[in-house]
Amino acid sequence: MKFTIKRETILPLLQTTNAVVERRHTLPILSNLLISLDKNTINVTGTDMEVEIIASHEASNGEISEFTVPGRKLLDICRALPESAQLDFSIEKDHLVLKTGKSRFTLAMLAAKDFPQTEIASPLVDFEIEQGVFKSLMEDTMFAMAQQDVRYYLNGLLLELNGKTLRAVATDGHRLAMKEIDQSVDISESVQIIIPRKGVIELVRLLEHSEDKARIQITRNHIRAKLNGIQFTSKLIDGKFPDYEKVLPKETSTPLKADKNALKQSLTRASILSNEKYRGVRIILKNNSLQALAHNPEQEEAEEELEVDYQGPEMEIGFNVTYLLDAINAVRTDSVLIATKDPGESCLILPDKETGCRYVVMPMRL
Amino acid sequence: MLNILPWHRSQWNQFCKSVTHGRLPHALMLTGPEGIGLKEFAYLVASRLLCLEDEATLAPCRKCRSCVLFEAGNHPDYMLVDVEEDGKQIRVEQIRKMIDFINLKSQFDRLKIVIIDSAHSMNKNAANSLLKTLEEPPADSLILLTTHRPNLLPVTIRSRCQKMIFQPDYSTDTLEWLKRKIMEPASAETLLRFAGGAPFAAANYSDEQHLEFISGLINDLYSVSRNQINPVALSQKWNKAGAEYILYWLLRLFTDILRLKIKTSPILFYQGDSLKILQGLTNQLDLVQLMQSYDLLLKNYGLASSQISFNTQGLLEDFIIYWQETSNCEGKP
Repeated sequence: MKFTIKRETILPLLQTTNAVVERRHTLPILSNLLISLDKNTINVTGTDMEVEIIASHEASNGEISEFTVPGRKLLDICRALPESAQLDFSIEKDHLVLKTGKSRFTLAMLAAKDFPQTEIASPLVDFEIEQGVFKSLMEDTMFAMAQQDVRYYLNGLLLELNGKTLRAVATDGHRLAMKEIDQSVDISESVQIIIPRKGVIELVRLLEHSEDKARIQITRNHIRAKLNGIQFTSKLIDGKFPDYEKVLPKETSTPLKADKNALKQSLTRASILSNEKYRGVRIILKNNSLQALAHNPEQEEAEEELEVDYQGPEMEIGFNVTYLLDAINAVRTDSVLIATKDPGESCLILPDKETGCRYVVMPMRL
Repeated sequence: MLNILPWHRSQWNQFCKSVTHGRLPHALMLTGPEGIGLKEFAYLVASRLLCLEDEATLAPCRKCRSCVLFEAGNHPDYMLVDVEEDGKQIRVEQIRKMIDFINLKSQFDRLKIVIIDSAHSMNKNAANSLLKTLEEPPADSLILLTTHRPNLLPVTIRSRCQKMIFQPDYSTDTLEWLKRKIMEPASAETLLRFAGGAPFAAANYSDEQHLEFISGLINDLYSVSRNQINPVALSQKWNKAGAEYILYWLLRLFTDILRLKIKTSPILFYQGDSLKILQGLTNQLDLVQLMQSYDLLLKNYGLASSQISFNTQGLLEDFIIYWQETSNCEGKP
């Protein structure tokens, strides 16, 4: 077997797929990439058995072949080669030989049949969506995913489809992020899936802020996204997401309205002197004013006051300031609405004059 | 590797029955002496359940995609957790990784299978982190634990698993299997007895060495009882050979002494005068003294093989001094 390829063609394929390849894995084959050639494409597959990425490119090699090679090493070699080098690959016994210019590399291979490629069942849901829209849907919610929580179903992002809308929800039990967009899909009953944390991060990285379409397929056990020349597949989490609609507070008639950037900066300043571990800030609401107070065990104190639009009752609430800032950061409008009824109840953060986005933050006792 | 071993047949049938009746437990603990092939049985169960050919009573087909991946050790719905190369323990990170895995959906839409080999090597944190998953496992999953020392596991783990017990086996079928595995088929029975009815352990032994080793051990015991050897020198010698190993074989010897005391035939074979010396020691001491020696050995063996590192020479000295006092005082007229 012999084929020739340009460094600039194979490099992006290796870079994309190496993202899921673990450097030191207990299973040696998982540090390898599967390279398969058919008549006019080259496909490179990387997997950690949870997330799989296949990157393809046209290549007129005329050969049909399949083999696996150490992913990180091949990438490092290709990266270090001079620009627009022509790479000649050939297989000698059980080694892959790469020749270019006066360089020669021999890499160990493992049997391609032992490579755990993902085969998915026929999809329950199959739709197309703009990449940019899908990316921001996930970006605006993923920050609230739990990390290594024993409630394993929280360590991921919920996607919910009911035929008309597509909703993404993430929560770690202290805060919740939800975003909904219009997406008509041909399904008979609503579908709920949980994409594991690692899958979400990888998928967001692959999606581009563009109007190009991504094709999404969901099966009982997998989600697959087909982008330009890239196919992403992730296993799903086997569990039931909590009934999040119960914890969404009702909107109040007198929400607080503030300038997003001013509020963000004010809270960021206050947060510097909050307790490093608990990150508590005390928010005091009065007529048309918001005060943020923070102090730490070293008796240092921060006091911030901000003019806001507020006609509700006077109130004093404690929050983890990181959670507040995460939610405010995700708001894409210039002003932000904060609705809270009682210091003991969760607080709702919304963008102004835009529906579909909701952030909930639980208060903390200071 | 993936064949049903002759001494596993009854357990295999029991497993097949539970599959056909849809009564597969969520967690199965395989226990039996070391070297009886618990891991091999667990492999067989796992590959049978993952095999895409549905025929519950047959061995896996070894041809389908699932079987090929399993044999390569790369099956996406299977995970092996065992003691990593440079350690004695299964650490909590390994169990957490396993929990992440088992809470994902399966690739082939069948079962997800985890084998925790030598489950007693889990340290306290690892065992505790496993509890919740063992109690409420995700659907379509099976956790197989193998252990030859189940008593080292917390009772909370044991009570959450269905048990499958493998007894020592001396049957002719097993001997036939062993004869095909070893260089000198004639010594198969001796080896199997040495191994305490654990065929895989037997295949790793060579009889000459062990016969010699056992007689040496008996002579040491005798010398101590006659004050012919310095206890400290002996403990040093034993410690060099490996305290855990010596204590294990002393335990085996005392099992035989106790068997002789209650007039049953010993399990091990003895060469030369060894049996006579053993018989002499047996007659000289009463059952209570023998039981107490056995208990001390059992305790010290437990400590020597635990995850905490003890001064092993001290453990050996502890026994030697006890043995010297017991066997001497009674020996004098």
